[in-house]
Amino acid sequence: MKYGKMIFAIIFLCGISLVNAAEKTFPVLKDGKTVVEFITPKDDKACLEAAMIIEKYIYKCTGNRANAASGGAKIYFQIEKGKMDPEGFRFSFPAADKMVITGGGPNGIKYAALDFCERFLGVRFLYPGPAGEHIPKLKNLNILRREFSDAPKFYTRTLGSGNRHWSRQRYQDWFPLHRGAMPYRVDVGHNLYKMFPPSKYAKTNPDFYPIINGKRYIPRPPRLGLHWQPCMTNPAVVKEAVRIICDAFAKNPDLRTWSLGQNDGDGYCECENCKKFYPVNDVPHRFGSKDRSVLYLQFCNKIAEGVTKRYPEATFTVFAYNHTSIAPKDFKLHPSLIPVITYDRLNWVDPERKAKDMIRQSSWSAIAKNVCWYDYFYSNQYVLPRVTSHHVARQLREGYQLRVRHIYIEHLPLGISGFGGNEQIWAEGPLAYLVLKMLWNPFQDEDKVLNDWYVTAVGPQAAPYLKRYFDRIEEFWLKKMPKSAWFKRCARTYLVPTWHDYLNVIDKDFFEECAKDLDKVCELAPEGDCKKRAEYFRSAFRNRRNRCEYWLQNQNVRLHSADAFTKLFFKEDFNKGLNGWGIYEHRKYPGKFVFHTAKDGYQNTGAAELLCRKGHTGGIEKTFCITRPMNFRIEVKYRCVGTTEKVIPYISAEWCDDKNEILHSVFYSDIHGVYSEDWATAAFNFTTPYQLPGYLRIRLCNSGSTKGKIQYDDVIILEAPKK
Amino acid sequence: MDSKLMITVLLTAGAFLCSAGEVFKLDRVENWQERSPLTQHSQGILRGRGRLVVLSSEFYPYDSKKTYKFKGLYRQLIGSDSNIFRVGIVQYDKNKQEIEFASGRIVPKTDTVLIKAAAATDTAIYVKDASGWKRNALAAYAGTAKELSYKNTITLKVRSIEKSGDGWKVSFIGPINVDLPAGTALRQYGSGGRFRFFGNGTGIQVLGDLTCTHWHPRAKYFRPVVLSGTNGIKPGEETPVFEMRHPRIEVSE
Repeated sequence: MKYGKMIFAIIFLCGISLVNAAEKTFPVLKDGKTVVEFITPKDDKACLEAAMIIEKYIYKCTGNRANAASGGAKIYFQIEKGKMDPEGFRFSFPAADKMVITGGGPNGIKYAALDFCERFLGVRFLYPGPAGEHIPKLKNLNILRREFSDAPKFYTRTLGSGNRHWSRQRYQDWFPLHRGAMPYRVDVGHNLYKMFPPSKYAKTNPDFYPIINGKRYIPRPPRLGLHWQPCMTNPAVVKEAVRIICDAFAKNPDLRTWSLGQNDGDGYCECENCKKFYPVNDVPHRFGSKDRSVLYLQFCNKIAEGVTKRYPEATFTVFAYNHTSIAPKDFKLHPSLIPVITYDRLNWVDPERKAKDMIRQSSWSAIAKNVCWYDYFYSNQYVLPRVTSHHVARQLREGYQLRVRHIYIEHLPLGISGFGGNEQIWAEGPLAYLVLKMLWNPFQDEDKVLNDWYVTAVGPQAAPYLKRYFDRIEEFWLKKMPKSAWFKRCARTYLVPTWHDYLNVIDKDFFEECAKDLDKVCELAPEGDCKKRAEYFRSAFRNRRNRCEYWLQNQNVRLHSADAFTKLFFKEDFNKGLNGWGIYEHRKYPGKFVFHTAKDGYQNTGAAELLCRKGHTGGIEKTFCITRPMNFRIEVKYRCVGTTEKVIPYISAEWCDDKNEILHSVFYSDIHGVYSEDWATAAFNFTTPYQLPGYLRIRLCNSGSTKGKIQYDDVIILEAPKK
Repeated sequence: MDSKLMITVLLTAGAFLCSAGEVFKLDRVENWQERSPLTQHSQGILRGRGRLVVLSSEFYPYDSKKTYKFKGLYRQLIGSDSNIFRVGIVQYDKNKQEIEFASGRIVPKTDTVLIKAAAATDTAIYVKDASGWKRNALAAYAGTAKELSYKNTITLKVRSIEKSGDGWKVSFIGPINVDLPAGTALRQYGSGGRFRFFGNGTGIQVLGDLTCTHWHPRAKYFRPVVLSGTNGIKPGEETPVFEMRHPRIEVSE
């Protein structure tokens, strides 16, 4: 009897729990069909688009369009401007059959819909492209009726990939799914050249432009945006800047942010008024540039004062970069100005560099209300994927504590023509996914986010091996790389991705161990999407491994003795003219710069001559079709005639594939000559890439001098068999 | 009621009525062509399945001093990612003849001159040589051949082209609306079509708040037009279902 009562009580309590559980859930799907109606306000485009995001993923998860009859449960979409962060959102359940999704603005309601898909449907956007989308198959879905709200911690969350280009589209379509966006709460970028184009002001207001070396400098193509700044003490420049910005704000009531980012490079005005703001001890600071912060910021302060009289809510970004990297002490910065501090914070793996950067960071935080970080990943240019997930997560948490509220990262993960092909291989795994999640909330557990990524990508059994693979790469970047000569050389704003000599400190068995991890991933991943992803990651690794090993091999060939090269491949003495050599220019300049001399070459024979001009890099080039593996040695005679000592004569060898598309920078080799008035020889060895047939392009170039010319003669290319 | 108060009320109401623009509602099946695939999904919401090219049933007047906007929301239901839907207008001249727009593409071997003056009310012109002329191209006119441009055309479809005496007779589907003296230079340009679209959508895009622009100088009437499902869809995709929510044209000064 006693036991009977106990059993009855247990059953009774279970029943109550079940009833409570059923009441506390909100039905969305039943037997693969939607049982909820989506209600959006009349004429509200943002709400309807948000509803369609959810409809789209329900369709993908069930195969059925959301088409519930009215009379059942409803999800209402609404925007409440001014009551929450414009990108924030809230899920609420005012009744058993009613869910309300509220956004603080159009972006807020969109992010709410994306959160719904991730949180309730289990959708994951792992990486760009259809294979990166994880769509669970659903039949039934009941959501717990628990109010939830969220808003971003960082107001700007940009992992930029550059301008719209077909090679970057996949990525540009993907990162908004993780609530990333190009900056719109603040405007970031070099902007002064756009505000004061010479085409508009050069004739009417030449005084807007700087005095450099005693002369007024009016910018001309192709350097309209580089190496000049407007005169920052000319009151007319300030007045015109205020007018331009106020006019733009008047035309567009949604626009209340403006970039005062200075032009890239130098070219600060040297008039007497501007020089008053130069430091007394005008020497380069630790980033290698002379300090112009006070000059620049006093200019920006005046513009901000002028604009905020009419638009008190306006914000402006100013660059803490290059000549304006260091915050001036005790400077009263206008509260609307947001410094954009540029630094590749992978440098923080070195405690000394981090300490110096933190001094700089603190100096900006001391004078600014909040701060933007501008960082550099340059993912696609590194031959070993630059995966540093935990490092970035820690850094973002620290940044938040330092009042950093905006993050702009030059990510460049896919595409980018001109830097080695329009790459479409996603080799960096969870990095961008994690960073975007942490930008939304840097205080969540990054390991939990990463584990979810690994398990979703390749299944629970394979996940630990995929994790080990990426952890291995991360360990290289955080522990090994800082010991490399490459890292020591790259003591600058951003580490240089096209110098690949960080590979010199990679462990001998690194690639073998990575290969074993990925073989295990492929073995254990279940059939279907997980297996396809596993094989994709392995194929991406093999692609990168080939390149890394090529680079190491090429470095080895570089050390081969000249005696090893005995067979002549090509010879050019320029005695009969330029003989079909084409012209190369890094940026097009007006006027001819390539000439031929019949008698002024080596031993009074013919030679090619390249005129040197300020800021110009160019030369002559010749292309060869190569069909079999071999090693090469190139030797060229050169001399510098009337140049400055800063001249850089250089010879390069780059490779293109069989469609003449340039290969990644890892396949590039060159040598820089030194200043020499007498005939000197520049020479180096290199090897063929593993993708053959291809094209070898040899260039003889000049750079660095503002005057004179470089003469090139007696080009010899020798070959040797590749072992 | 106090007379002063009455006057104030009347004046306020009048001002309100004057400032409120016209609205041409398009939210019922009857607002669109007969036998269109559109159906009434619910109040104010229309849907159309598959291939559709539908014009409004009415001609609406156009006043060049006013602004015309497509209001409401336009989308397709989920499942047809590769389908493109479009929202726009067809324009008509004072005789309610469709205005065709010319493209910049010159039709080769169509340069000629008028051998006889033509009046605005004429439906045919007489030219020296129309042997290369096409019925689906548009006739541009100017004082000299150098001045010819696709921006000045007889905006009507050609009905027929035939030899007539020493020259050729080109007939149009309506009056040409422009006086042309003998000797006027003429040439044909490819047709840019009759539709002016103000929004293209695909996937989960929603169109809304579209301003009608690119009005032809001779436009006097217009009819809204919607298109969907005309480009074919990929295998595995659903037949597109186009939806309009509270569609209307709002007119403002």
